[in-house]
Amino acid sequence: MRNILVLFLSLALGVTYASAAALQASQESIDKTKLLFRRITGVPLNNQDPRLLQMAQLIENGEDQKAAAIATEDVYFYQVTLKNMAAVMSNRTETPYVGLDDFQATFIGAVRDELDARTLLTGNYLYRDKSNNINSVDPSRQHNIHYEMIDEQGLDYKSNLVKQEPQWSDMRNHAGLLTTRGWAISHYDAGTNRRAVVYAIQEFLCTPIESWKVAHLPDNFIGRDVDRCSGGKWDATQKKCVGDVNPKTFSDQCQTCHAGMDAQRGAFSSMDTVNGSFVELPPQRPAPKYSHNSGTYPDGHITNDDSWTIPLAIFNSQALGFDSKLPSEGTGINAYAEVLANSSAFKTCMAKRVFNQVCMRSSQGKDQALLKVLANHFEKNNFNLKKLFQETAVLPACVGD
Amino acid sequence: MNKKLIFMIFLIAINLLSFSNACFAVPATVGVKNFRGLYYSLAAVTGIKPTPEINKYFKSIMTRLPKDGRLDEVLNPSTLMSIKGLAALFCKEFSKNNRDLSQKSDQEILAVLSDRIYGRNLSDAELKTQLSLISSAQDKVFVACTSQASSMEFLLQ
Repeated sequence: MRNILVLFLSLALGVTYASAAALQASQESIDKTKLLFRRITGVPLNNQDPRLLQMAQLIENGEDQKAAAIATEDVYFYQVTLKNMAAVMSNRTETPYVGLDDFQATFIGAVRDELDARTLLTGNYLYRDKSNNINSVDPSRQHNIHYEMIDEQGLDYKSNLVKQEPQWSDMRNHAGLLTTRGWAISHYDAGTNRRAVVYAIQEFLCTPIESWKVAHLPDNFIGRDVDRCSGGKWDATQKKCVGDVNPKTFSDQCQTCHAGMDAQRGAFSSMDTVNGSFVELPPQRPAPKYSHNSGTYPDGHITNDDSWTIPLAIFNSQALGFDSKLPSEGTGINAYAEVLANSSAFKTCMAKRVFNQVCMRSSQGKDQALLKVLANHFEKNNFNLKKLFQETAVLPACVGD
Repeated sequence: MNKKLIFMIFLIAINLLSFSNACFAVPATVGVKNFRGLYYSLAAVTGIKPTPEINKYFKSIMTRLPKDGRLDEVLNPSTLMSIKGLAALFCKEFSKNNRDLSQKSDQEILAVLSDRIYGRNLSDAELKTQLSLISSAQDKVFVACTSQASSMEFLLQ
């Protein structure tokens, strides 16, 4: 009888203890939860919020990533963290002080819906506000009013963004973020569309042109607007440079960047902007900007269509890691974007950007091995950026031990 | 005007120093909230939906707030004043919407606010400092809230 009583008491105490444990977590886990939540969402987690204990208990059980997954469902993950990340990638000066546009909304929506991040470069979709919030103004290639209204009305991105397919019903080409108005205004506006090449590789492969330019590549793709006769001028009749020419200026400086850049810019030849509108030109009719200053060197490359080439010296570069199963040349912006999206630099770049965002520091040399592991997991997880955030945020290198 | 400015900076400096590392987990790297994180964090802890007045002010000082979230970005008078100003606008609305809180004792006011803003209780030393800060204030909730919501501990990310 006494034994039964002891057993009963033990069981009762056990149950009580278990219940208490279910409602409590150590101060260490609570502190770690708060830090993890803050790093992922950008805002603090209130003591009264039931997610605090829920996350802390997961952390105590060694399930840190599941705890992080609770934070990535918070509305501020989209409003603060993803907005910061997308904003910087969206514009020429890489400033976060920009309002919402279709580029950023599409990035945020794709992360929320756990889409394959490669479709950010190749997809035929756009994210927009639910039509019941903003009745009269649809997303447009002419203006940004739709997205400005989302911010003006203080609508939260997580619950209000919806996917629109196709991206633009009146366009032949689509290449995810590269065919959004936001990207167009930043990179197809004026200029010669060389900027689009440089920034596509810089923003999505995290590789500035200084790191991928190659000296002494053939100049056969360099446009007519690039001066070959620095210090002198081109004599069309003699077909040579005349005057006090410094031939080294072209070969050592201009050619190093232009040979690779100009070979690729054909991919964007249908893309342009006119008075703030993003426009697509008819097939075989490259944007007029491709013919500007054609008298500078009339024998230079003429862009007739949207074909592009990634010179082999660049295509085989270890730093960019293009997929050798894909072609190094092709036609159209979508095929070009597919090559970028399937490079090893793309997945490492996404890992790096997520790391910098949630770890509050730029990755350094000592973090390279870690970034490689994150990039490989990112690929194994079907290029799911939300999971990449969860995995990165719990790293000791990020939030401490 | 200059004396007032110096006094404000002095107050901010006291706030910046009034946190203890022992109170929260120390991450591998210390960063601060950037402009967007600060805006939404203030909205989250005060429970205030940004008013047109808040938004107008925020837009006007946005580029003076930390851009990337590096610690060194907050170490200048212009940024500190802007942070204080933004916190004050949220706290003004918070005080307006929480009149019952102002009826409580100074200690209770501080306890409620530190739970919301810092997510913890104040240490004895902090309590003493903050009690002396709000003792003669007309709107104690506003002053305590602004002081805590512009402190370095709150800014830390």
